[in-house]
Amino acid sequence: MLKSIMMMLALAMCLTSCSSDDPIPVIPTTMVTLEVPVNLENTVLSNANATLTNVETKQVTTVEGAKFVKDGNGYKIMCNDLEAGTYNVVVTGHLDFTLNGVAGQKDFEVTSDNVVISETSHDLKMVVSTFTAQGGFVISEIFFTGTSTPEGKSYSGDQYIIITNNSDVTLYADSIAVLESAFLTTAKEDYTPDIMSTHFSVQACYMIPGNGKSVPVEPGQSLKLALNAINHTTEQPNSIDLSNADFEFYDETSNPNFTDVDGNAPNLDKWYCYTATIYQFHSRGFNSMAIAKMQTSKEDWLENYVYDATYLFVFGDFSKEMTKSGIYKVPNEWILDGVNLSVESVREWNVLDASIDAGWTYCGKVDRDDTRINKSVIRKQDANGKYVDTNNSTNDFTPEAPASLLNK
Amino acid sequence: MQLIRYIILALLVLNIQLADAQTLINGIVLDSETMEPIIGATVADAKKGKALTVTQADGSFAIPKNNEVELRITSIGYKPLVTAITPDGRYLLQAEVSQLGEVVVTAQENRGLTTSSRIEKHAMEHLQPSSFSDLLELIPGGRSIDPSLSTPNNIHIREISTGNSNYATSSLGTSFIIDGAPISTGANMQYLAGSWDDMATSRDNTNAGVDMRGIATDDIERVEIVRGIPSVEYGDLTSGLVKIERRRGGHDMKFRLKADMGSKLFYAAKDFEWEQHRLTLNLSADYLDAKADPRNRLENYKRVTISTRLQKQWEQTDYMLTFSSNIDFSRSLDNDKEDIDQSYSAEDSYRSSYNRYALLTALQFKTKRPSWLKSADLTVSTSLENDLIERTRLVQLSRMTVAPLSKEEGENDAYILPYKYIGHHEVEGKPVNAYVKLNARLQIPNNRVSNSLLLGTDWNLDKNLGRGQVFDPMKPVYTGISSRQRSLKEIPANHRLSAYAEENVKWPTSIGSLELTAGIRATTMLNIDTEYAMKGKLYWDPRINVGYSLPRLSLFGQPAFIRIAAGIGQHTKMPTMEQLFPDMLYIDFIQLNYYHDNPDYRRINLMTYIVNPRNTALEPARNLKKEVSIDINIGGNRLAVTAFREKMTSGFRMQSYYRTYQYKQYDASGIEAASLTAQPNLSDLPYTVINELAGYGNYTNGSMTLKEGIEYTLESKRFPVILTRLTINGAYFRTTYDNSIVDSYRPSQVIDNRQIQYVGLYANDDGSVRESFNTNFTLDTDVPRLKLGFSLSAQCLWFTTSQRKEISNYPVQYIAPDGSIHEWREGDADDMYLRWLVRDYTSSQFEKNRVPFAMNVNMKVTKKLFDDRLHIAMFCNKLWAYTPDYDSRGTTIRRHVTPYFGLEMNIKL
Repeated sequence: MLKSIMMMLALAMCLTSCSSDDPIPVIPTTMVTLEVPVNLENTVLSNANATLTNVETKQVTTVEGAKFVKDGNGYKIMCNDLEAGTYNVVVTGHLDFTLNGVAGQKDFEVTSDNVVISETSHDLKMVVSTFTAQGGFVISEIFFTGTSTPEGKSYSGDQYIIITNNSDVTLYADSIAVLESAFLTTAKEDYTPDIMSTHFSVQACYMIPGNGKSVPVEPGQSLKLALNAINHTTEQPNSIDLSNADFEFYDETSNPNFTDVDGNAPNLDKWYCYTATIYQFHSRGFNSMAIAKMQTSKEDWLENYVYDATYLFVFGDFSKEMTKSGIYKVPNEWILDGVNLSVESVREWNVLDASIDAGWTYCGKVDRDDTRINKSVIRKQDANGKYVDTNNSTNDFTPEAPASLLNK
Repeated sequence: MQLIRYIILALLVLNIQLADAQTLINGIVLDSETMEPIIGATVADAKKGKALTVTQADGSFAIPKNNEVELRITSIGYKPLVTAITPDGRYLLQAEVSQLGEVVVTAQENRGLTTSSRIEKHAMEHLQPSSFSDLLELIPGGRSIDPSLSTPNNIHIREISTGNSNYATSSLGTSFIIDGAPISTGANMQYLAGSWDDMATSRDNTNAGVDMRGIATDDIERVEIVRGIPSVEYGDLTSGLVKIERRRGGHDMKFRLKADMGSKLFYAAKDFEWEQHRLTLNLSADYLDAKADPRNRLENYKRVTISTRLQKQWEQTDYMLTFSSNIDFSRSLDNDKEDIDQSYSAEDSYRSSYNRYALLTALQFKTKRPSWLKSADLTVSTSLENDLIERTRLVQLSRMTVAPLSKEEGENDAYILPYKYIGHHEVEGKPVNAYVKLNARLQIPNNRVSNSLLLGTDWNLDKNLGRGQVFDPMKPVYTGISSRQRSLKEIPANHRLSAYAEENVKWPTSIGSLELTAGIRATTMLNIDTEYAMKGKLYWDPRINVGYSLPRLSLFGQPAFIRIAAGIGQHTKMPTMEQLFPDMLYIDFIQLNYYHDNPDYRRINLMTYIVNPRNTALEPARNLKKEVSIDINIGGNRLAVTAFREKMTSGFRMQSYYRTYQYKQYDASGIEAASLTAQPNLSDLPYTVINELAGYGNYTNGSMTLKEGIEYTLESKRFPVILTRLTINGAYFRTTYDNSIVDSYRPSQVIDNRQIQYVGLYANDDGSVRESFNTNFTLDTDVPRLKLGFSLSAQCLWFTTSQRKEISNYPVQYIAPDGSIHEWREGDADDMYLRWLVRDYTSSQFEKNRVPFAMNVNMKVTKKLFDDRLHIAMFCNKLWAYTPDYDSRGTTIRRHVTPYFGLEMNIKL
């Protein structure tokens, strides 16, 4: 028994001594392929660093980002003259990308331990799996009903809309526009040509300004876009303090009949609005709302995205073919999220394509229901705190929910 | 005073002229039933068959003294009378078709040359009106309409109104004359400046003429609605004339109590007559309470009228002098309040009251001697109104809002309004009207023609002594108001002076009788600045009506009379005070709009421009009427048909104009809010100078109204046995509205943070053609034995059409922000900004829209009880209706009709 153990040891000694005798092979090129989540586009890698640590020798090889070669959406890293052996590989870096057209960014670190690099196995694959980059910006709340004064008159200056980064990457909200539908969900017409399957017809477009990366929004964080970013409670005790809003809908005008308040928050860029008076959301919720990443310049959009619709108008004892002017259109692909709003008693149709919103939500089941005041439509959240987005606001939203910013 | 002295002198001279002639026999020819003089009757020697003379305008004639002579007096429509000379000189002719004892419950076509409808007391009693508006059902083209007493009622003669205020000259140009005194609306300034709410705008009646709700009907003896060409005696009108004569004398004490679905009316009157003194006195009062909705007590209309009418006659052998004096008070009150339970506060209310005090004095002199001067009339009427609109509203703003206060041009800081306040806005108007009219009727004796010459003059003054728009500019009800307060007293009085002459001729010949009324009226505006185009200008209104009556003939064994008539006339309506002197416009531009959390640091700076929207080129509205008519009477069954064409190319309208203004746009982005210790200083801020277009409205003569149509009335005799009479009346109207002045429009879209900076100029706008054709079949039965009156009226509207005038979507020119005007070129429709100037009318909007047949059946019953002391009446309009569904471009249109009924009780003591 002892003898056999000795034999084994001797053999082992012999083996090691044999190998230390042979020179350790050097692999001329080792290829590390870095895979990023498939839904990222236009990825740009920065501050990248690959560290390969030889488990045995503790020798560390570092490859600088400059040697990362873009390959499709992923990257290839070439390491030259690595000794064969077992390695721990760490790749860190910063990814900039677009996700559904929206600019985003994420730091990442991928590790892979005990990777054997040999003459026969010198390609290794690293997958960025610390984030999924699922989801994106969603409309998490629309407060369109306004509040009421202690005397019971309606107050609409405190309307707001909240958009939230529902992904696990930082996304930039620059050039995301808030869109209001040109058509009412309470008046169905056969608009000709019918472009609803490809475009959203809008009567107002207010865009978050920026140079492309001015407005980062961390995962799970929100932007409050207020009609007037001021503390409304100083004048209207039942209202909301919106002085900390991120942006405001400001209607600049020289006409003193339509003075708007230019509060503290930066103003949205008013690309287009159907009226020169003060813009506000439909306080009964007859228009659908959407957010879209504007994928072209303001000039190009204003020049080339006009939509002239005709329809047959019937009222009482006459009917007429009408043209609906004052409409711009936004391709459905640009739209990140959309919500049909309506009122059950007068609802006729949805004005967003079903691929964007197959359902609809509301505040007030009958028209001019005064109990709708102070209420919002709020997107539901799942157990993890993520907003539910099945492109069906009937499922995804809580109608008539108390406005989240009220009394806070 | 000097003037009056001359006039009296002239009267005396004329009166003396022909006072000799003792060698004549004087006589007067009267209708045996009505005792009205018969004009133009031929007086002939019965034996020799030689015509001696014709009767004059007062029915009188004079022939050389010859006691042997036997007279034969003939006139078309009357049975010839052969008689010896009567001692009292009265000769009564019997109508071929007796109307004696006839109760007429419909409007009747006037027998004179002027196309007009006469509505007598009986017809009104049967109709059971609440206000004058209800009477219009009776004129050709009229139809019963549910009373709508919560907003002003305007008259629309011979037209299918669109309700567009730019075509309101028709109702403005219809003159209402009560007992000889016109109701002036020329100084009505009762509008709430800056208002946008329905409560206020729906009740704005400025520049729209008389509000017929305010005219009570119970005192009215007879109404004549002149649709055609009125005598030149009546001026300051374009479209029509409503002459109302109220009751004088009698001995009754009357009460009327009426209730219908929307209103209650109470009327009481006491009539006095002292025959021996030839003195009458009538006292009456009326109260109307109407609600827009019987369930809503907060929105209502109330009317109170009180009237005192006195008349005294002095009859001498040579003349008769009549003195009349009326004192009238009427009060109209519109009330509209928000329901406290349903909404905000007790303060929200609208209240508009009109209080009118009127004094009329008329003196009539009538000679009984043969002389050139037959009669002279002097009418002096004055009225004072005390009108007040009060609008109170709890204003709660949703945004920082400003009130421009500056009354000067230039840069100024605006007042920032509190978010909550109670706004109160009053409009106080005190229109004063004075009217003097002097008339003389002359006659040049002539044995072959009956003639009379009317000469006259009138003077009218309108002034407003009210304070106008009164509000605290720091608590405005209407925050967007662009006018500032001004006292209406500052506006100069409008004086209008007219003179007229009219010749009436009736020439009976063997081949028929010729009638002619030809007159001319000249009007001028006094007391206006030389810059006005109207200054010193005379406006001439020539008007002619001619008629030819066929000699007496017989058709179907019945006596028949046929008259053909035609007329042409010009009519002129002077602009109102508001149209001549509109409020100054204050156009403000925001130069800086700075908001700070600390209210003391907020600042809104404005640049104010003042625009005077007076249009000194404004001219009166003028309407040229032409018409032909035929009147056929066969044995008492009468058909009157009139075809007319009225063209008014200079109707008043509000037209918008654009101009470029400059202001500084301050850039507040550099202000550090945290470090401010006071309002930002303008001199520290960078700015850019901006050109901006802004519009203002002014009155022009740009509205064209063309009225064409045919009116017809067929009145049958009362059929014996069934005691029923058939009246068929109706009209085909075709009304064309058009705008002859370039229209401007600035799109309201905002592109890249700025409203579109271009204004399109379009060749024309808002023209339309409307047609309607209706016939009312009215069967009225009068059973004297049962004291029962009963009528059934089938009101058929055969069709109505409306069609917009086809207009181009493309402007002809456009104004750029710098004010320069450019021609529109083809490629402009693709320009990012200019394409918004293309309007979006589609061809189907210019298609004719036709609403087919609809019929309502109305029923009315009156019953007299207790020796005629109690009179009960009820009506039900739309008791039965036939309104078939119809198809309009693939859509089925259903029409619904709700009956409307009422009940009333009249007591006569």
